[in-house]
Amino acid sequence: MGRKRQLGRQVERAMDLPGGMLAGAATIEIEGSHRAVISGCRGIAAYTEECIRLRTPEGQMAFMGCGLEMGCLTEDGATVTGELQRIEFIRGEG
Amino acid sequence: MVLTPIWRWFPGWVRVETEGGYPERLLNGITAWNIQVWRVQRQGETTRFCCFARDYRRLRPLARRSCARMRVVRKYGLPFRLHRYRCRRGLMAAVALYGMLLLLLAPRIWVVDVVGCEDAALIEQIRMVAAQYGVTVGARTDRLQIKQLEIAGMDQLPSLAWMTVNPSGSVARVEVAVRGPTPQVLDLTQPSDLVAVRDGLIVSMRVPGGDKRVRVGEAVSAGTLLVSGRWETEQGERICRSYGEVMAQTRRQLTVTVPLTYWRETVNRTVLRPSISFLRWQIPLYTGVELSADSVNFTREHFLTAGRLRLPLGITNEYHVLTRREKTARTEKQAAGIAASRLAEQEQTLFFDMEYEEIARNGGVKNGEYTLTVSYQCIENIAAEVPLS
Repeated sequence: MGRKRQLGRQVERAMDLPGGMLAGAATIEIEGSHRAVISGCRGIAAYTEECIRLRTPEGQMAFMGCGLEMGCLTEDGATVTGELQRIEFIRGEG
Repeated sequence: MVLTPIWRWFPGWVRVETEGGYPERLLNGITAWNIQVWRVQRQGETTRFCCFARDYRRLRPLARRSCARMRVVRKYGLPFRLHRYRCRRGLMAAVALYGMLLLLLAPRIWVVDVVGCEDAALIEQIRMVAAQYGVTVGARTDRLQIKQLEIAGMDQLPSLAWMTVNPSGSVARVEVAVRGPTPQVLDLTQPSDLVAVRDGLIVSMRVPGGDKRVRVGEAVSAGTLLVSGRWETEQGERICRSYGEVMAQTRRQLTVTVPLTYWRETVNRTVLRPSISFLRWQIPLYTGVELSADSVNFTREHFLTAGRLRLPLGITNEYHVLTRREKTARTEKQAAGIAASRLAEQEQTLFFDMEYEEIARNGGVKNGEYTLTVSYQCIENIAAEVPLS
């Protein structure tokens, strides 16, 4: 899987394609500090008011802040709303 | 995004609260089972989220597996609203009736509106022709034979220059263009004479075509040749069409007779027969024996309107006035007044295109009738065209 993803990333870079298209990486869109739209995630690892950790193909993605909520939740996407203070990437724990 | 709450409102949705257990496991299970959830909130041990009402049952095994207690906090949407009114059968019946009427009436024509014509008689003819091709109140909008009507309408109504139908919702707008009057072309190829139609003294002549046979100041009798279409020239006989005006001073007399006794119809009683009109149907709101058709005196219609359009729902009141006949007498003065007014009407009808002056008036009672005789002196055109003899 790792080699495949590596190859996908190389092709993306060579052909100037949007990141995550072939390598299967998660993408985040952030609107200010109140809303983040994540696509390509694989579930929830932890969920509290102060921290939401989502599983991604490359590890975990943690959103930290106050009064965090999930506006929408689907199989491969989620929307995190609230006062976002920090985003962390934790490799290898997906 | 704006429409999303509306789409969720129709199937109905619930706000669910879970307590304890492993909320992450529950949410992962929800996404794995493709259950749509939104507004997910965590507060201490409690997790709240929204989902469609139909998905709630599917959440129960997931909640059990993640050791969480689950309950519905609030319900939203149409199914819950309807459930609240389930005991009110009348209301439910009315809603069902409304839906049925909407399904029944929405694809039908409610109003046939004729645009581009002011003549009431012609509008009635247009409506009759349109009805033959399905353009009538109550007809289905998908069964209108517009092309056939356009062709047949031009054939059957020669006074129309153009005709089409534009269906707009439940209104069929029949748009027409009325043909203007054809200008008359003077046919100079048919030779003719002008002869006098009345005795008189000629006061003026205006004859562009033909050979004059009388002069101004000459007295003529009815049938006299005034202008001839045939005359001799140096090149031989010539014929043409005679036309023009020969104004003459003439005498006319009008007589009006008014009887002094007459039969008068007095109102015995009035019978009201209301009926509800809906599309093409008339539902009578009365019972009883049929009255003769002659006794219907007038009808009054009270229809619902939308703007200037008359909707196909209303009440038609037929007033049957039952009368009885009585022999009544009138005085000579009353009879003279009636005779004078009838005479004035006749003057307007007969003398509309001429100058006239009253020269004698005689009135009196004879054989139970009042007779008014008036003599006039008129200036009128006495020439009439006849084919060349």
